[in-house]
Amino acid sequence: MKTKYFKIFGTLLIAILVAVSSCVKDLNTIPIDPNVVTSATVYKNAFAYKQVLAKCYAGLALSGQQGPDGKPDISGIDEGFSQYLREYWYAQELTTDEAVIAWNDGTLKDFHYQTWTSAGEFIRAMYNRIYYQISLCNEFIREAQPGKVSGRGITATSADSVATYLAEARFLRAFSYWHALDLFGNVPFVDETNKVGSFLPVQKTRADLFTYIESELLDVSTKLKDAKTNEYGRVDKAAAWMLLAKLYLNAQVYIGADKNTECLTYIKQVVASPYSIDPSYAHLFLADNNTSNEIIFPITFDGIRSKSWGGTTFLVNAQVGGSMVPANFGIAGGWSGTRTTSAFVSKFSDITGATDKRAMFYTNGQNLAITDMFNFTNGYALTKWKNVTSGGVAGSDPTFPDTDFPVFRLADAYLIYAEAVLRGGTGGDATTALGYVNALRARAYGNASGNIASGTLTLDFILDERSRELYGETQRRTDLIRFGKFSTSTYVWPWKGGLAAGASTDGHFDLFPIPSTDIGANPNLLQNPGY
Amino acid sequence: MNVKNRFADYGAIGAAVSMDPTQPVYDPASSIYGGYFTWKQPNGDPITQTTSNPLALLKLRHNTSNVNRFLGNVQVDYKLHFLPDLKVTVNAGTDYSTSNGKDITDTMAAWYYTNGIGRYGTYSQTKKNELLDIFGNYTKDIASISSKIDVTLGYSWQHFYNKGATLTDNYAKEIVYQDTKYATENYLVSFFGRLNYTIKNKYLLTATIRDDGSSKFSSSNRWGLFPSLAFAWNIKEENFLKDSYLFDQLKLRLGYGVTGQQDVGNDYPYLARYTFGQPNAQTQFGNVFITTIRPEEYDTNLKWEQTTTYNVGLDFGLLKDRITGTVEVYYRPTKDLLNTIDVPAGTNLTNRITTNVGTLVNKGIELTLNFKPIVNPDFEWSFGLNATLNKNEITKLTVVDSPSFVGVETGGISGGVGNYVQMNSVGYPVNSFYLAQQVYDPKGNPIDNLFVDRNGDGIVTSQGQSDKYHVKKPAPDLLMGFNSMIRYKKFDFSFNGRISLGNYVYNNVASGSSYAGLYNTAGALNNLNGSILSTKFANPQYWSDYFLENGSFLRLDNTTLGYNFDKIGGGNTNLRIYANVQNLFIITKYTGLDPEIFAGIDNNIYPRPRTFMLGVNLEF
Repeated sequence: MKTKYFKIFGTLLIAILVAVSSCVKDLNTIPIDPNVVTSATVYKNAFAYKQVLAKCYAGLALSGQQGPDGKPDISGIDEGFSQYLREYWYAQELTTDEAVIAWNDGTLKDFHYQTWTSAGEFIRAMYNRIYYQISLCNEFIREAQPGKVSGRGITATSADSVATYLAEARFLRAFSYWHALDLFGNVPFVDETNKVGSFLPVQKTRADLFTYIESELLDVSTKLKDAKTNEYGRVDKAAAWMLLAKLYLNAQVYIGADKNTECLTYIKQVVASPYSIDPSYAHLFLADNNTSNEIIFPITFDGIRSKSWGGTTFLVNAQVGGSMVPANFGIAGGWSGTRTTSAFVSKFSDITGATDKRAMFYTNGQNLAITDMFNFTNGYALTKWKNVTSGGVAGSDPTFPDTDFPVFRLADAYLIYAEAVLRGGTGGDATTALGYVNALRARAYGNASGNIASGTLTLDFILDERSRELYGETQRRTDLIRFGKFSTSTYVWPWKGGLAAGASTDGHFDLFPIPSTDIGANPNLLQNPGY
Repeated sequence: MNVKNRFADYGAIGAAVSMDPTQPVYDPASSIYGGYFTWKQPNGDPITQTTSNPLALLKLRHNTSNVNRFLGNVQVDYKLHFLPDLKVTVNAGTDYSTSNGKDITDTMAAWYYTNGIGRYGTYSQTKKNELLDIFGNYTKDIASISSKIDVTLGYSWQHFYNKGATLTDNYAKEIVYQDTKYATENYLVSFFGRLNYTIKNKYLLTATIRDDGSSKFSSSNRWGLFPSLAFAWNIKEENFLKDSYLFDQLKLRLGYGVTGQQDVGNDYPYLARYTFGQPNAQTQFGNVFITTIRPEEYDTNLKWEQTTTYNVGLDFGLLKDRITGTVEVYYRPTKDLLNTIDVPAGTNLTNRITTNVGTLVNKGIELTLNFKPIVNPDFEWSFGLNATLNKNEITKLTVVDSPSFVGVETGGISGGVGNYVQMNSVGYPVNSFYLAQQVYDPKGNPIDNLFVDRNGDGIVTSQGQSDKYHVKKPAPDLLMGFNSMIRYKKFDFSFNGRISLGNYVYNNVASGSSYAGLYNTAGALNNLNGSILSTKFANPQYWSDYFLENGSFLRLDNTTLGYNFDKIGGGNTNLRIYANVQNLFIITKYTGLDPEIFAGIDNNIYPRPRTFMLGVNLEF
C-alpha cells in the first residue's frame, strides 16, 4: 500500500522538478517582437551595417523610429522639438538678426533675447541630440571595426563597403563634435572605446577637442569615397574637406590661432571637386533640390518615407502665416512661426526680389518693425523654403515636405575661399576670390549688374554677403561670433537683449551653457564662464 | 466573456474647454465639414493648428472594439496518506484576452481634411497572463514541548505576454499612416519558504525567505534573495493578563523584512537590442529608402530595488472588544532605487534611462481604532478610524556625490514642450515641487513674470528659471480614513470617507492660461481658464508657485441608507432596499476640479462622477 503512495509521490515530485527547471529557463527570454533583434545577431551581413549607418544619418533628420513621432530617440522634451536640425536651427538662427519666432513655448524666446540659462529645455535638447548622435556613431564604429566585421563572416568586397560606412560614421561623429565645440566649447568626450553603460566621461578642453576633430577628419578624408561618387545623401571626401575648412576658418574662435592657410588648402579641394553652382538659387530650397549639383551634404526628407516634425517640415510650415497662401508652399496650413528682423532686411538694397533674387520676403500684411515678437505679422516673413518642385508641383505630402536641407553647398565654399584670402591665408588670391563672390551675385541677379569691384570686397562685405546667400541655413550664429558681432554691443538688432530696439548682451553668451542636467549627472564637468 | 466598447475621442473634453464659446456649434458655411463650425483659412481650408469642434470630434469619429476574455483557474490539493500533515497544492491560472477594434474618422472631419482625408484604422491585441503555484505545507502540533510548527515550501511561476498591431490608412485606404506590430513578454519565478513556530500560543516566530527571479534582469543580477523575520508576543496569554477585565487582546509584534521591486516599463532593459524603423522613418541613400536599425539603450547592471521594513506594532482589544485597534511604527529604507535619470551625456544610447540609483527612507506611524459604543439587538452603532502619518525623504540620488547637483527633474506638465515642475533632490521628499516664488502686488495679485531672487545673485531671471526652490510635495503628511455604521431596528445607515492633509497640487489647468493663448496667429480664438482674471499674465508662467495649491481635503466616498423588510411572503425570502451615494461631497480649498491627484499635477478637466443608486437585495 505504502509503495503505491511513494510511487505517486515520486512521480509528482519528478513532474514538479521538471516543470520548475524548465520554468526557470524561461527567465532567459529574448525579444519576441519581429521588429527587435539582439546585438548578437543584428550584424549578419553588410546590408545590416548599412541599415545601422542609415540610423546614424537619420539621427540628423528624424526624431525616432516612427515618422513623424511615436518611438523617440530622446525624451524629456516634445518629440517634434527634439529633432536635431530643428534644435540646431534654433541655436544658430533664432539667436541672431536673421530670425524671430512667434511661439512662446517655454524658454524659446530666450534664444532671440540672448537670456538663456543652463536650465533651458531647448539647449538641453540640442545637447542631448548631439550626444545621442555621438553615442549612435560610437556604437556603429565599435561594431564596424575590421576585426569584428571579418569575424562575422562578411566577405572581402562587402567588408570594403563596411570600411566606407565606418569612415562615414566617423565623419558624422566629427560633425556632431564640431557642433559641440562650436555651441558648448568644453564638453565631455566619449568615443568607441567607451562601452555603453554608466561611467563619467572626462571633459575635453575646446583646444583638445579641436585637435581631435581635425585628426579624425584628416584621416577619414582619405577613406571616404571620392567627391560626388557616393550615393546621394551620404558623405564623401568633399564633405570632410568642407568641415575641415570650417574648422580652420573659425580657429581663432576655437583655439585662439589663425588657420586660414589650412582653410584654403581644403576649400580649394572642395571648389575643384565635381560639385557645381546650381543655375537657380531658388531650386536649392525646393522639393526637388536632391537634383541640385551644388549640395555637397544634404539632410534628406521625404513626405511619405522620412517624416519628422523638425527639419524642413519645421522650416516650411513655421515660415507660413498671416496672409500667405499655404498652397503656394505645397502645404495644407502654416504654423505662423518664423519671420526676420529689419536688421536682416536692410542687408538688401532692393527687397522686392526684382534685382537680387535671394531677397525672398513676404511683406503683404506684415510690418517691418517688430513691436510684438509673438505676433506673426510683426516682421517680414521669408519664403525661401518650399515643398514645391521647380516644375511647380506640390510635394508628396501636404505637411511633410520632400525638400532636403543643404548642410554644405558649394556657394558656402566660394565665400569661405574669399574670406580666408581676406583674412590673410596663403594659397589663394584676391582675383579668384572676387570671381567666386561675383559668380554667386551673377546667379542672384541673373546678370553681371550686381557684380562688385575688388575694392568693395572687404571682410564686412563678406559677412553681409554670407547672410544674403545663406540666411536660414544655420550659419549665422557661427559667422557673427567669428566677426565678433554676436553678443556685446558691437552689433545689435531688434529684440536682441529683450528690447525692441535691441540691446547689448554679455560676452559669455558666445557659448551656450552645459545643461544643468549634465552638470548634475557628471561631476567631471565644469560650467562655461558666466553661467 | 465578451465586451463591446465604443470609445469617445477624449480630445473632445479639452476641445470643449478651449473652444471659443462665442462660436456656434453648427455653421452652414462649414457644410463640407459636416456642418460643424470650423476655423477656416482665407481659402476655406481648415486652420490646422487650432481647436477642433468638440461635437465634430465626437460625431465624426467611431472607435469601437470587441473584447473576448477567458479567466481560468484550477487548484488541486493533495494530501498524502502516509503523511497526513503534509499538503501539496498546485494552482494554475490564466487570463487570456483578445481584442479587435476599428477606429474610423469620417471624410468630412476638418482635422484630416487637408491631410489624407479621413482615417480608417484597425487594431488588435492579445494579452495572456499565466500563473503556476506549487507549494507544500506541513503542520504539526508537538504537544510535548507545547509547540506548533507550520512550514511551507513552494514555487511560483508567472508569465505576462502582450502582442498587438495597428494599421491606420486614410479613409479611402490609399495612404498608410501607421503600420506597427509589437510583441513582448516577461517572466517572474520565485522559490519561497515560510516557517511559523508557536510556543504555548504565546510566542510566535515567523521566518520567510524568497528567491525571486525576473527575466527583466541579466542572468548575473536576475535573482534577489529576500528574507523576513517576525516575532509576536501574545501578552494576553500571560498569567498576569489572562484574567484581565480590561484587555481582551494584547499582542506585541516586531518585524524585519526585505522586499524587491522589478517594475521597469521595458521587458528587456538589460539587453543590447536593435529595433527596426517604421516605413515612414527611413533614410534616403541614392534613390533607395533604407529601413534603419536603431541600437537601444540598456543597462546591463540593472538589478532588484530593495526595501527593508522594520516595524513594531501593538494590537489590542479593550472592554469586550468594544474598542479594538493597532498602533504600528515603521522605518522603511529603500536602496538601489529603480529611477529614471539623465545619463551622463554620451554614455548610453539615449538621454534618460531607468537604472538603480539612490536611496530613500519612509518612516511613519499607523493607527487603527474601531469602536462599538452601542451593541443592542435593536440599536447598533460602530465607528472606525485609521490614520497614517508618513515622512519620506530622499537620502541619496547619484552614484557620485556632487555639491553642484540639484537633483533629477520630474513631473512633466502639459504646456510648453518639455517642462517639469518637480525635482527629486537629496534631503527632500520624493517629487517635491520645484518652482519660482511669485511676487505679489499690494493688493495681493501676482505680478507677471516677477519672482523672488531666491539664489541671491541679484538677478531676477525671466520665468524664475534660476531662482526655483523646493516647495511642498504631492504626498499627504497625514492620511485618515473613517467609517461608521448605525442600525436601528430595520433601518441601517453607513458611510465612509477619507481625510488627506498636507498634499499639494500643481494646478496645471490654470497654469497654462495667459493672454498669449487667447489668439492663435493662424486666425482663431481660444477660450481661457478663469485663472486669467486674477493673474492677468501675458504669457504662461508655468513655474510660478501661485499655481501650487494646498490640496488637503475631506471626501465622503460612500453613504448608504437601507431598510430591511426581513422575511416577506412568509417564506425564506429576505428583502432589503437601499439608497447609496458615492462621492457625496468633498471639502477642500483647492480651486481646481478635484485635489485627489496622485502625482500632484492636475491636468484633469473631467469631473469625478457623483453616483446615486437605489438598490433592492433579495435573498432566497
